[in-house]
Amino acid sequence: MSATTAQRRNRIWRYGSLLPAALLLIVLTIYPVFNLVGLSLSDVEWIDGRADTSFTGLDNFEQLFQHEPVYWAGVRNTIVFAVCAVTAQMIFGFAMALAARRASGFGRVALTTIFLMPIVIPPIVIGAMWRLLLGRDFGAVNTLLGYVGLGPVDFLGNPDVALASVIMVDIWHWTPFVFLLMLTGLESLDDEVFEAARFDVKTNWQELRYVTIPLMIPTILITAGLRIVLTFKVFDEVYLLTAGGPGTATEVINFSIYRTFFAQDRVGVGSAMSLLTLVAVAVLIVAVNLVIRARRKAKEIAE
Amino acid sequence: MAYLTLEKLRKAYGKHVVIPEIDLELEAGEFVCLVGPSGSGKSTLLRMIAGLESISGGRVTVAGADITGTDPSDRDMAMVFQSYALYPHMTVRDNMSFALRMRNEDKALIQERVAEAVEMLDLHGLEDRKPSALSGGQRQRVAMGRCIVRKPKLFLFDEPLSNLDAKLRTATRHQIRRLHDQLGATSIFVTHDQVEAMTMADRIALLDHGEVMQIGTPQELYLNPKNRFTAGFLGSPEMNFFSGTAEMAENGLHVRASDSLFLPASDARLKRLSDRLVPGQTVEVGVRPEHFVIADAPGPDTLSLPVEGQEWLGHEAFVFGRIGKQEVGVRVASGAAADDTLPRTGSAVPLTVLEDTWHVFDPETGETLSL
Amino acid sequence: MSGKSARKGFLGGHLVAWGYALIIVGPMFWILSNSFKRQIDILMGTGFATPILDNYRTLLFSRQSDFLMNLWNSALVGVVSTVIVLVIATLAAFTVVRLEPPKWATFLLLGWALVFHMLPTLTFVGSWYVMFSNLGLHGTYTAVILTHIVHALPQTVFLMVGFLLNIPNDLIQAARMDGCSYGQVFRRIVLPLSFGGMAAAGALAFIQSWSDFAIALNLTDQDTMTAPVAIATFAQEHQIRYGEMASASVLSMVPALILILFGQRYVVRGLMAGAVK
Repeated sequence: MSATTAQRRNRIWRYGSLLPAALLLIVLTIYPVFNLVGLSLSDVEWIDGRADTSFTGLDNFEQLFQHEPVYWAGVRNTIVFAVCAVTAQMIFGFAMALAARRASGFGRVALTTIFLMPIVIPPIVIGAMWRLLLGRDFGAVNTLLGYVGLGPVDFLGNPDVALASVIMVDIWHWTPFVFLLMLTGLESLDDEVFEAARFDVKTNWQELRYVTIPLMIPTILITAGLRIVLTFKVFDEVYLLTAGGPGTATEVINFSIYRTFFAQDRVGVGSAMSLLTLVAVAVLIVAVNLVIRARRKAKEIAE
Repeated sequence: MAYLTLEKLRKAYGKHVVIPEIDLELEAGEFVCLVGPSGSGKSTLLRMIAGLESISGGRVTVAGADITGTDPSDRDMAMVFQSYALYPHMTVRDNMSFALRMRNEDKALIQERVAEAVEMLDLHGLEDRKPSALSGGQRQRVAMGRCIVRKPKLFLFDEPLSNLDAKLRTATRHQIRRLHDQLGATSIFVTHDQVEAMTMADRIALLDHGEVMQIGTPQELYLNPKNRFTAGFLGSPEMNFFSGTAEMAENGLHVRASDSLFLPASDARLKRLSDRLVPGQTVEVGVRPEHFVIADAPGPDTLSLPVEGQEWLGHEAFVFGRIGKQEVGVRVASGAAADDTLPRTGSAVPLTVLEDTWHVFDPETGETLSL
Repeated sequence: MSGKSARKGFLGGHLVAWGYALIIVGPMFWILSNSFKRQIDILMGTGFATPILDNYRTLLFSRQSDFLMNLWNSALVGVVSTVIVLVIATLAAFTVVRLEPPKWATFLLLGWALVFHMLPTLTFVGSWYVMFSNLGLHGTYTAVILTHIVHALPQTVFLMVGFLLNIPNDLIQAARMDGCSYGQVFRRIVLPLSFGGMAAAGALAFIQSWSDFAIALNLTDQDTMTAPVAIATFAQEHQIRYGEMASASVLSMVPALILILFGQRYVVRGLMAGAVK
């Protein structure tokens, strides 16, 4: 009889231990998606702090697709943002990792500490910091430019350079992350392969082109995929640096959602935006995963 | 009724069958080794007995009680793992007393049992160390101590010696067997090493692809293998196999391929064989290296082996060569085991076979025809 | 020849890496120095001024400023959500890794967690806002803590799965044979052996909660506002108070800096493990 009690206790544990996590995910991540579907098909009024919804069909989506140029400017900017920022981060990060690869040892801890800083300090602080640095009249960057006889540049106020400035801040923010991942990747490669390659390659370029890069492809792909997807999360810095402006110069998807949903209280359209974004990015995530998995599988078969 | 019985025990992962059906019985106090190549299902079987692997079909009983579906924590069995699986965050004493503490045994009793085990395993002075501060051999002994203190219904060993160096392994072999006798325990010992099985076991169960190929005393398996698999698995160097057509003669059996091999036999053995063999039937013959004799001179009944290499091991020596594509190893008589008298590479030695020491197998089924 | 070029690479590597380090540290020093300057000195771009503590004093102790309370809110939300998410994630990770739950359950749990982890947080915030408002929970600690828990959950589960895989299965099985139920295995074996992993995962969960802006901006009110939201409001006021913004930024960096100074090993381990997974 005691046998069955032990087993019953174990069965309860097995399901019980997964329950809190599953419950949280269901209530706070899966239900909200369905909630969004409902809200996006409704007109929402706030009555005593409670949402009063009435079904309006696809009106909100019609509105979104026909009359929300700001959102679509945000979509365009976000894509430009993702492509430019991630490309630059990958190139800088990889190049620096290559350069610093054999430089390990001396000052390693100090260097890692410094490179970790942008990754772990709150993004809003980074926004605040760069807002002060890039200020038109008194920012340190313009002061520095002044020393060499350039500027001043209105980094955040000029529609032509504002997006570039925000992207630059993102590059500053995330290049160290790419660098650390690349460095870890490089250091996990088998040193003997490079020793063997010394007999076969003539130049550093050949080594890079035919040995290092092919071996690093998995790390490069994963890192690039991860960064692209995570770039769609960008919000905090933009909020502080430019709030999407001037005009729609630095509008990004998340800021459109925030403005529509919270600042303008247009819950229905905001929900439609959220839902559309969510589905699109989810598709992107699955696609990136499939690409990485397919490559891994192809490699396994090849071996 | 036997102490431990496995009835029609079956294990499958989905469609992948690991153990089709096994029956096995153990008497109380027995030391049984489960031996087999990797993938033979021996570890899986042990873990099914322990309750760590689910059972897909059949029954396990211990001392008359059906324990097929019970939880491992209720089975009262103890296991020595290959990795020892000592709890790294506990001292030696805590490791050994853990199971008793989990059962809320009396403190004095726990202390007494641990002291006993420490004594038996010569672990004095190590009680307060963590496993990371122990040598491999010491860890192995702590792992055994953890089992001993519990006085379990069954001792299970999962290749516990494979992480020890050769010298320590021999000593530990003796120690395990001695402890088993001393405690009057019933043990199942899984290993892929035939030497461990031969030296420790009361009985060996030889497994292949989840089936028992033969079970019996080490002597039975070595001297009278029931099938080609058993014959080939036990013995080092391996038994030599030849295939050819069998023909009865007055005082033995001729097996002809490109060369001819003569197997001398007693009348009784010859009689038994003739009942089973069709003249001209293709058979597979097995002869152990020590059952060849190097003849003084080539004759009509000798097999000529061109020597390609020697192995000199001190107390014995072997010469190797090939007949056709078949590797053949021969033990050199102990008188010739000095290096300078070994047959040289390039020479050829004439071989005869000792009477009744050889085996004949059906090439299709692998079953013996000569028992 | 090759020795020479290797040496050059060595030195060049140092220069590049330290050059970039300077670009990282420079702005931080600049903001640190600004936090000790008067507004007028900041606006004039004065290089060196006698450091003053006025900004910090105003920020923390003046009547008009709630920043001390904002810091307290951030700490409270961070600590509570980190502790809860660690427990929940470690429990789930142990079961996923060692107790062989049905394959579909593992796949759904981890798969959805991965997708949720990468989706823009803001696409959920609106829905949360409506849900919590309808429950009358908008602006409460409960709302922020719950969302921070679920926000950190995927990453924490993945990290703990990675760490628990390092605990040999033999150990779990040995404990089972020694008479432990799953619960006892968890408490007696798994928990004591995964403190290191939990420290790493916990450090990252705390940083994530402390840094969060998108959620707190929309789910907190005046009383539960966290530090990042407060910093953002500095920038929105008509007359931007640069000095206080700088000192608030410096104070908000402190926990992260402490963590990487004293727990660098854990943070790196966590970050790398999380990213590679």
